Amino acid sequence: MKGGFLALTGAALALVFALASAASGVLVLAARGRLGRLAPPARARLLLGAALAPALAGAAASAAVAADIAWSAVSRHCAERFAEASPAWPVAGFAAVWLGWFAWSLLRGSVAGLRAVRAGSRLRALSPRDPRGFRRIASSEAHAFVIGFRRPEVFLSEGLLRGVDPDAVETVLAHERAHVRRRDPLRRLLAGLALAFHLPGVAGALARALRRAEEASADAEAARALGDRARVAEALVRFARLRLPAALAAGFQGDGLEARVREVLAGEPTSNSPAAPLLAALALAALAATLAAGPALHAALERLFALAAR
Amino acid sequence: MGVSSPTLPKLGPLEEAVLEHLFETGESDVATAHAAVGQPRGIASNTVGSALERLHRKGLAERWKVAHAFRYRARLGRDELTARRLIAAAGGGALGQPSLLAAFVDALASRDAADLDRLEALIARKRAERKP
Repeated sequence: MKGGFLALTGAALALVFALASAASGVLVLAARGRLGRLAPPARARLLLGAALAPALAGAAASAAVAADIAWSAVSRHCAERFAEASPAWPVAGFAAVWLGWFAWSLLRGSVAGLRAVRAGSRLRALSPRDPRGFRRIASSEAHAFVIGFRRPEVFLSEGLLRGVDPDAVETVLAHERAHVRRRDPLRRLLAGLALAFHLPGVAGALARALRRAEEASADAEAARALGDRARVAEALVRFARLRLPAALAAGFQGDGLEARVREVLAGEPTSNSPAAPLLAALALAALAATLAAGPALHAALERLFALAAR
Repeated sequence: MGVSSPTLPKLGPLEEAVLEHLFETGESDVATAHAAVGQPRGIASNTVGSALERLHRKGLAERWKVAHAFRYRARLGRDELTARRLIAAAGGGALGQPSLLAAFVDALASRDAADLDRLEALIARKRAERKP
């Protein structure tokens, strides 16, 4: 198979990823009002679906075209027709830029993931277990987080334990246990890899929205477990106050704290939560439609190749 | 690759070595640090002095004057530095994108105490509204 044909195929796939990314970005932007009214776990599921959309769309389109090539009686499919073709310069440039971005995203994501795993192991080794069900980190800064993809664990720092009262520690623990139960670090890893298929701006916006939805889900779960929404909101503000000196030193203005406080105080919406079976049925229907459209996609791909080839 | 914490400045190799010297000795002046760290590397005393000055500016060392010369001491322990570095690395922060560390509040949530006061007042109002 010639390099020209591979470049054409790469450009076609890049186009599918870019279109799916743009479509999911526009949909999330257009529906942000409705998304805000969803219960946080439903919002997080939908945003994870949007993060996965380009990768799934690319896989489905590839499978549909491959199935058509394998099963159809057409003897001269695109691989034969365009075996000697080379892409026009703009198409080759588009494929090269996309491939470079994708490879860079995956590489730095993988390196960061490996570093995170190694750092997590060392933190586990250095942080003794507390009878209350978390590990204590020897840091005077306030930290509370969950790490671990396979066996997530809660870590609280000495600075946090010294800086807040036992009630607030219990609130923070309830929030972090929600992250453990939801396996959020693993979700973030999956989302991070899937976001490599997105256009850069869309990837960043989806990542921020997904993170906020996950935090809001853990806040809501903690509020349910404790039976007191205001207590969770108070713990958020107290924690932020402990971080104030570091934030001032870094000149950093975080976002999302006020929105989280307001959301947890308002309580969870009781309606508009799309049922998981409905979402699964929609995803299956979309997959079936893509596979059924194999011949049409194949024909569209050949037309695209004809336009893109020199 | 995004593993430095916003609260933990990046350090060059000489700064690392000088900080390690401060961990070992407890406190030091430029001449002692130069003898321990600079001379074996063939580095001038001024360069070691600049590294100490940078550690001070980055908030990792405190200093005070003793007879026209500064003495320096690390502002945090070796364990603390290790913990902060590991926390920064465990966050990933390079999948573009979502940090791999599910934190209670984003690393640095606010730099405005007035904002936090306002939020506390809001929470107090909500609590008062809910009381019968």
